[in-house]
Amino acid sequence: MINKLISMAFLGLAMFCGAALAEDPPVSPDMIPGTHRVDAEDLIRLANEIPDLRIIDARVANDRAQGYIEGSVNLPDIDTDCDTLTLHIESLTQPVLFYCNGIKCGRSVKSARKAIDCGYQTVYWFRGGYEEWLAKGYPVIKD
Amino acid sequence: MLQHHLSIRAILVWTISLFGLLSLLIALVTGSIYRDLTLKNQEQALERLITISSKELLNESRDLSTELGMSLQSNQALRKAVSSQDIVALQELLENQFHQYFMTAHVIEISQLTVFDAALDTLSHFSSNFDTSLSCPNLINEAKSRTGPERLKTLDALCTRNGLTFHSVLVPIGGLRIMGYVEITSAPVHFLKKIEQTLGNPVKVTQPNGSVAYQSSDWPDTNSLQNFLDARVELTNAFGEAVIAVSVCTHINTLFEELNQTRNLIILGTGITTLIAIFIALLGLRITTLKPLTQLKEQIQLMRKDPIQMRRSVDVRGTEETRELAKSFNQMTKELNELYQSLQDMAYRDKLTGLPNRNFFHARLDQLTATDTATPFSLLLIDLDRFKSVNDTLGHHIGDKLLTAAAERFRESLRTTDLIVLPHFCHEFQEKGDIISRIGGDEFAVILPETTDPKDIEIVCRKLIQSIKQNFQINSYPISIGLSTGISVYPRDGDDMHTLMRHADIAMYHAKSSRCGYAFYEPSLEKHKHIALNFESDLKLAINREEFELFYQPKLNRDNQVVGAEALTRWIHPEVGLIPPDQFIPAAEKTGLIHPFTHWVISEAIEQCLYWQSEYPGMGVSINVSAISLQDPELIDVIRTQLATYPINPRLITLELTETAVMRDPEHALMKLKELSLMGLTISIDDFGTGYSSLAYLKKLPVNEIKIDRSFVIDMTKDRDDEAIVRSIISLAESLSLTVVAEGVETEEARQALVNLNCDTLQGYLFSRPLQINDFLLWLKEKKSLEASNSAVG
Repeated sequence: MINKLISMAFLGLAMFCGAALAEDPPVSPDMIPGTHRVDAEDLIRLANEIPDLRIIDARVANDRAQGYIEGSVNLPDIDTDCDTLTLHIESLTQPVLFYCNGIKCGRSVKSARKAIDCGYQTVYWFRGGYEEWLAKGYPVIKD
Repeated sequence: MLQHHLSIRAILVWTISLFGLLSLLIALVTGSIYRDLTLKNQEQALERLITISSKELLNESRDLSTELGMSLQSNQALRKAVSSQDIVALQELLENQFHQYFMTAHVIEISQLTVFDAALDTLSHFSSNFDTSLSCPNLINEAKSRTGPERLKTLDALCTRNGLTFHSVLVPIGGLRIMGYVEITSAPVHFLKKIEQTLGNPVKVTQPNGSVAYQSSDWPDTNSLQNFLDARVELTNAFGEAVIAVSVCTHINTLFEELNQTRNLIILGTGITTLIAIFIALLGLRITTLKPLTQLKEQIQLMRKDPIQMRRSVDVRGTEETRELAKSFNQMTKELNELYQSLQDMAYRDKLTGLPNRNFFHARLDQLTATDTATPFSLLLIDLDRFKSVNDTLGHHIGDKLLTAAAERFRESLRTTDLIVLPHFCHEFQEKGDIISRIGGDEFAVILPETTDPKDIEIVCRKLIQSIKQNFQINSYPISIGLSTGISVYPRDGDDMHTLMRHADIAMYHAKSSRCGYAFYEPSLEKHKHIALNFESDLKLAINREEFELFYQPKLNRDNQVVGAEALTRWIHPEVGLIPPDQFIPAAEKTGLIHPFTHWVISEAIEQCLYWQSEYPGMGVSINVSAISLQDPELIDVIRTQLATYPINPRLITLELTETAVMRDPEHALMKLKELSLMGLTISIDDFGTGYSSLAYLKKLPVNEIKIDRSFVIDMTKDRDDEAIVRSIISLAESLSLTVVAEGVETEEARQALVNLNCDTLQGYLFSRPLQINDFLLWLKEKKSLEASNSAVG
């Protein structure tokens, strides 16, 4: 019993130290040069105004399985390069939009920067991501 | 009226009880209010819980419907049918979905599925009831009013159709590009009934049309509903319509029990508090007020019973007011005591002599003979001898001074105390001193406590006699008095005041008549004195019964010839026998019977005188007339009538008056005597020489005769002084041409001496004692025959 208590105390101490030592996950920058930052409403408007807008979900498969914005395709940032991008985007002029989990998720930032680097001309970045989408009550899809 | 019967204690108890009752009432009313408030609170809390739970459950319903909607809109076939507006396909799809979901999942209780195009016009719907669409118009209208991205959002609302409430959830079809909508209509009861699990209480869901949509199996029936608290919440939708009512009831027995318990505790507490308050108040009242008041009350009762308690002051504790009251009370008692003492003094002290008076003496005697404190004592009754003549001749002011002086001498010769102690608390009075009091004119009485031995009593009697032996000197008159004392002893001679007084009186009477100074009571004295004591009542009877008789004592001249007789009254009492006049005349004078008595004597004597004139012509009769009789206005008339009735020479009738009788009112006496003298009667001055009459005055009176008092005559042959007096009286009489009569001639020697002194008339035992008329007549006859034989011999 005492041993258990002591071990719990140690565990609690370790957790406290861990929390204190752990750094906050980095927040996405306000702006990504070369991209257009959009919110959920902008996204819906763009989708209706630009029929060939490509929406890319930059999250890993595990996150996507929780639900996604209808019409998006999955290309995790780690898999993203100029080659993989061409698999989903037909030309450098086709508008493309990146999103991931939210403002603390850096995947869409990385993917969007790569797209800029690869030469895509119209890149939209949905900074609020899936979190903002859900919070505003817009419909999602689960497979 | 009520206040006369209420004590302070009762008022206090009633007041506190009333307040106790009032607080009880307040407690009960407050309890009832609290109970209502508690119930209301409970109800409100329950209503809030219902509201919250209902919201949560409806959210769950919405989420599940949304999930179904999402899954439906993801269906490609449905999307295709919507986009192509293929109604038949849609109908089929919806029916399949309806049954599939309804049958298998039963997560929500679907009532209808409706598909709309992007403009929210109905494309197709499926429900268990084909006749009516259960679609919610308000919801559709709201959806229609939206623009832009808003149109992507899911809407839900409770809607009433045909009196029943449904939950409609509108989900967009077509993802980011709206193609249409699907409306899932389900029964909210399916979720709302879960409140019975979340709250743990029975639940009832009522449709707008009043029908019960759901009721828990343990929902109480009407009878037992009173034991439950029933909270009902009418749910409203976003359009402000009351759509469905949710009721929850909870058992309030426990609550009531707790409330009752609390109420009982309050009642008990109030009761105990009231009792304690009453107890404390009564205790306080007792200490501060009642106890001091009781002390004062008891003191008043004690004082009423025994006024000597007025000397005591009361020590009272308590409040300042009661102490102040006690102080005033004590002050008042002190003043009352002083007043009482002076009243006692006034009531019980003789003003003239300063001695205790008759009232005091009687009360004291009464007290001493009370059985419980009886100790032996002796009672002395003292009567002054010759006081009356002092009073008569020298006047009352001299008599009063004599009494005062005598009282002072008595007091000095006794172990008296000056303290006049109130008779009714004598038991506290331990004074053993003798008590002397003046109980009447010249009567004194003495109590000798614890003295019953005759020798001791005699010592006291002799002391008293000794005390007045020396002449009193009052206003330069030398006055000599004697005293007669009667003695009775308690308890031997009587065990009550009256008996003792009567017996002492009898003894005193005996002492007086026997001239022995003092006498002890003996039963043998009783018979004699009994009559004496009843003189006053018997006298009246005696006149009517003719118990009086005239005795005659002869009066002789120097030649031994009978010249007259003195008529002397005797009372032949049927029980006592012969009673001399000096014993009953004072009583007759006192009762006023002396006048008829004198009238009788006068007529009897005159009649007798007339009778013996035939045999002894010229033999007169002498009648004694007292001072009182001289005042009798009828006296003259009576004599005149007699003289007119009987043919007799008035000169033969001699009226004898004492010196004192004449001197009492000389003016009046002179007037009366002149009148009598004019009528021809002979006037004689009796007992001459004993009084204080002025010889000069005597000269003015129409007197014919003087009688020398026997006291001078009896001793004249032995006492030269007496002889000188007699001689001077006779020579005085001669010079005034008055006849001289000598009384008390008892020896031949005296007769000879008187004859030598030229005394005219002689009277006394030498010749004869007073005789009854028959004996007197016999004596006259014998004398006559003796003289006849003597002369015959001579």
